[in-house]
Amino acid sequence: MKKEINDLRKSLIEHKPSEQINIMEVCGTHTMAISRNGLRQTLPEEINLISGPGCPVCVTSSKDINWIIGIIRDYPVTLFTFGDMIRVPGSISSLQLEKASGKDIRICYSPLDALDFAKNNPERDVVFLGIGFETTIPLSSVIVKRAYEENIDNFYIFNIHKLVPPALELLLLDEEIKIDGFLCPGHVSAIIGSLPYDFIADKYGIPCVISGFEPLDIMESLNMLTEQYNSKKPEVQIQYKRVVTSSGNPTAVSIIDEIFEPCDSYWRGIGLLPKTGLKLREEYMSLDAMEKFPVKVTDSKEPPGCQCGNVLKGIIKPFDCKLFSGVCKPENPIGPCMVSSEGSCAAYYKYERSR
Amino acid sequence: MCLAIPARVININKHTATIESLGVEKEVDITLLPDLKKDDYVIVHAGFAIQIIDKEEALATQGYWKEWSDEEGNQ
Repeated sequence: MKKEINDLRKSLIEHKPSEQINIMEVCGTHTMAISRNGLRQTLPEEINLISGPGCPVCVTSSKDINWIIGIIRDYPVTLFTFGDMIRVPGSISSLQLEKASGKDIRICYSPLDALDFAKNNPERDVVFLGIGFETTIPLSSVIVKRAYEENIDNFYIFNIHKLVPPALELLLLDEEIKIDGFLCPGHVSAIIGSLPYDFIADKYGIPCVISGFEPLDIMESLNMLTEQYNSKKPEVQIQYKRVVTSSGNPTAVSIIDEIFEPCDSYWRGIGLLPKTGLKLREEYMSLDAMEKFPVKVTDSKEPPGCQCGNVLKGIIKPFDCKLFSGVCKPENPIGPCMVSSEGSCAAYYKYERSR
Repeated sequence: MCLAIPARVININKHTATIESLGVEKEVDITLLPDLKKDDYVIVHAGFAIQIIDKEEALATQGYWKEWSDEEGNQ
């Protein structure tokens, strides 16, 4: 394996572009793999990897966190959430602090746990915090459909799902950011396939490679991206062929479309991005926690000095933030990119501080 | 968050399947893969099988996972 990685590294050095290019790894799981395996340090300096907005926890707005905290404070509900969300601060509290103060907040491995709990405890209102990109959205779709069809009337979803391809287009339109290639997310693409990225190559002329998560996958994908850049023939290539096809998982795509429709969504540190979120279709609105449990939510400011917005857009690297590793550490995180285990700041802090 | 683990399908029920990964058996939901068969390899995300994968590739990835879990003490 080491020899293969080294060969790919040599090939990358041999074919490096004549000027520095920015390749954005969109997915937080890629950021983690790159940091953990020390890949960034092995690349020629012409290839600059920048981390994108692909950590769902990091891009959740503090307003949405304040909102769910408002619900659990005002209504006697049981909240199920993935573990990543629990420590992320809104502007008033975090789910962890609320849990410590006695609120019924449970960490689940699967959305199915929330639905099973609702079935077994019909006297209790249950809210599932639906977060994540296209990898996770079909799972939420399945449980919403099941709750609806089985008339489980104490189950609700607090839905803050977000979509990857339209967000990438908005990054390309941002003049502050120069992106020369996308390392596209592997498991989002397992669901949606490669076709939804075609516009990036066709309309914007930017190379895309859908990559797996092993060091070998990533090094091979970087070679493919560089080759596309050098030959000036941008296209969408699939490196992660063992999992990703051009059409993805049609059953999953169709159930997403059955349950949800696109809407505007607020991305933490980035702002309101049109058509990058999802809302429940009219038929399923009775399962919407935001409708069922109305609360007054105030907008909130980011913590002073926190540069997570610029980190999420790839404008700066975590090292460039003045708070990084001084005031802001995983034990005492200021911004969401340091809280989530897949946040860029957490990954750089854990694996790259001393490199 | 988009972590997904490869596993082999050892038994199929109606909406669920028993899968095995690194010696651990688990029940997962297979609603998203209606054509799934016994002995297929799948990737699993948060309790759901989300895509079928190539068998040889799955085994190679499992090797990587074992290496990772040994190294991190996450067994």
